[in-house]
Amino acid sequence: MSKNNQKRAVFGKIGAIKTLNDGYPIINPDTSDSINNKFGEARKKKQEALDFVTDVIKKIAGYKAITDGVVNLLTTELDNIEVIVKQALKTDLKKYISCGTNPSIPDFMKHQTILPGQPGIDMKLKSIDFTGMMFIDPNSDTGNMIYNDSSAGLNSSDFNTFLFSAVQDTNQQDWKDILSLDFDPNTATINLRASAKYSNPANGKSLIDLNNDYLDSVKLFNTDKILSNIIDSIFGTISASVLKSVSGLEKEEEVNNIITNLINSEDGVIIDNSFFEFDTNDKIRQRQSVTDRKNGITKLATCGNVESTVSLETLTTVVNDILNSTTTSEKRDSVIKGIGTMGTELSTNVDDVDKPSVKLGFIDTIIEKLTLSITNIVLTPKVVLLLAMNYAIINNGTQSSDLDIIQFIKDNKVLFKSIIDSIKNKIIDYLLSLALKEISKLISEQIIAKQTEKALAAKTQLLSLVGIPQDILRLISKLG
Amino acid sequence: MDISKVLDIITTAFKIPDAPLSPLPPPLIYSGGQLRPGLSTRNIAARIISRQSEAGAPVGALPDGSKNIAEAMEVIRIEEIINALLTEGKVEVVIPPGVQISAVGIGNLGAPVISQGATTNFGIGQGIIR
Repeated sequence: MSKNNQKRAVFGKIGAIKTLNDGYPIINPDTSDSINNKFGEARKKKQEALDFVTDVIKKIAGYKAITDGVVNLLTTELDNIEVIVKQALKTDLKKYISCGTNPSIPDFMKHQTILPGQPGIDMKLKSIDFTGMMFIDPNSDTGNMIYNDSSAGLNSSDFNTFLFSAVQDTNQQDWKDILSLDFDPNTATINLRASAKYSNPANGKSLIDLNNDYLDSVKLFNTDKILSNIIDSIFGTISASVLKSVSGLEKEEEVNNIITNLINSEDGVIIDNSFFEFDTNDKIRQRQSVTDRKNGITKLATCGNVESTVSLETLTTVVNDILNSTTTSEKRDSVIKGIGTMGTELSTNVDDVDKPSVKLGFIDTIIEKLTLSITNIVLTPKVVLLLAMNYAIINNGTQSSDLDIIQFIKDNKVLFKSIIDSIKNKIIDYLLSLALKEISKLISEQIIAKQTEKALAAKTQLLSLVGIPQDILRLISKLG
Repeated sequence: MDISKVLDIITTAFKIPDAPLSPLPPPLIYSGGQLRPGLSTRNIAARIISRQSEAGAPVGALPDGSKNIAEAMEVIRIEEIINALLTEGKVEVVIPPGVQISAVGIGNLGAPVISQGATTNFGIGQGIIR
């Protein structure tokens, strides 16, 4: 059976069961987006599994269930996603650098107090910070939406915040006694070494230990930062506020499209150059997206290209509400309230009759952008620095590592595909478990109804055999 | 996780094993069966038409006074189904060996005897409609 027919069969079963359980049918499988792929030309490929599972949840339990699922992914499930991503990074880095052996930290990157005269690894700041994050002050309004623990400076628990402060300072700085870095403002170059502790042979630390311990020391994902990234990728709220350059936005757009191609590809597929190439239509769409993000808007194609936005003030309020939440329950409530507030704002210019579908479409867009935004957080300096360090060790030795992020992704496509697949599959797994939970509720209602139907049928048949009149039998069977 | 695997998992979730029916008591089938009036096309069609309003379908003539074609179709549909059941339907019944009999015969000093007998209990079998 073709995939589309299988999908139709699933929606047909859902429709039949809901008809029998609740009343008369409202589900038409042919209107399902995941069957008809009604996502417009911009989505040539699609996240087929994610779209289908989302559709199943919506058809059975409505948008409330899928919204709750998204809120859970952004709150309670985020730590699980982080564990999976870190594990994927550790496993893939180990394969990348060692082919099974346990390599030691190379002499050229040992700390000067342990092995003097070694050059360390030089890397241009812009090569590990392709989005220009380090130009934004963590203590600013927009900084609060990009950095974690943004006011703690060099003592921050967040590596990106630490790095911002480190590059303002010409002294050597240590990250949690794992890595040491010096910043030369004249060349905008970071010189990176292992800390004295990891450089000392007496401590028996290998390069794998350094990679793993570093990954354990950084917090990757926070609810408010992922939500901010999603909003910025749709509306350019932050990009417009910090006046990002056109070239910077173009680079981001290109990277986002490459990541989207990797997300939309199936597991195990060979990544060739076509994932990194764009035709004329793609380039036109990218340019339009850059223009819109620079202006802090998006255009709702289904509403006559009406301009839609989420303001910096609204996003700041949402982020602060989440940051001020002390319990998981409060955080969930803040996210639900934030999504509602942003949904109302973005539908301001839309006709009243279209407002509900625009707000629901916003939920769909958040789901669509979730894997991309989580991957974008991975592509911030706190992880790219580690990948660049290992890249330099394997490829360049002590020479300067001057990365182009796109070439870097291309050269490490297997690593990136593995990270992206781990994020995507975790999200699909979670939503699939929600779908199965809703299906099992539906099925258990059906089982009860069928058993009741069988018992009633047996009873009425027995009674019919002892001469009970038809009208009494119909009353017992509850037939009109 | 690709779409094929997701489809397989979700499709499997809809599979519900159905337990076979418990048989009805044979004496009841025997005695009750004789009271059955048989299928009536008119009765069935009338009940369906009378319940149409439960589904929101209009009952009787349409607002412009024209004939309710759906009702007419319903009568045709039931006529054809019942006709097929009555004139073309077939029930094949299998009664397995082992029905008890009681026989009486005249003995003939060890030689084989001819007996006459009758079943002493209901034969219970399974039938399917074709």
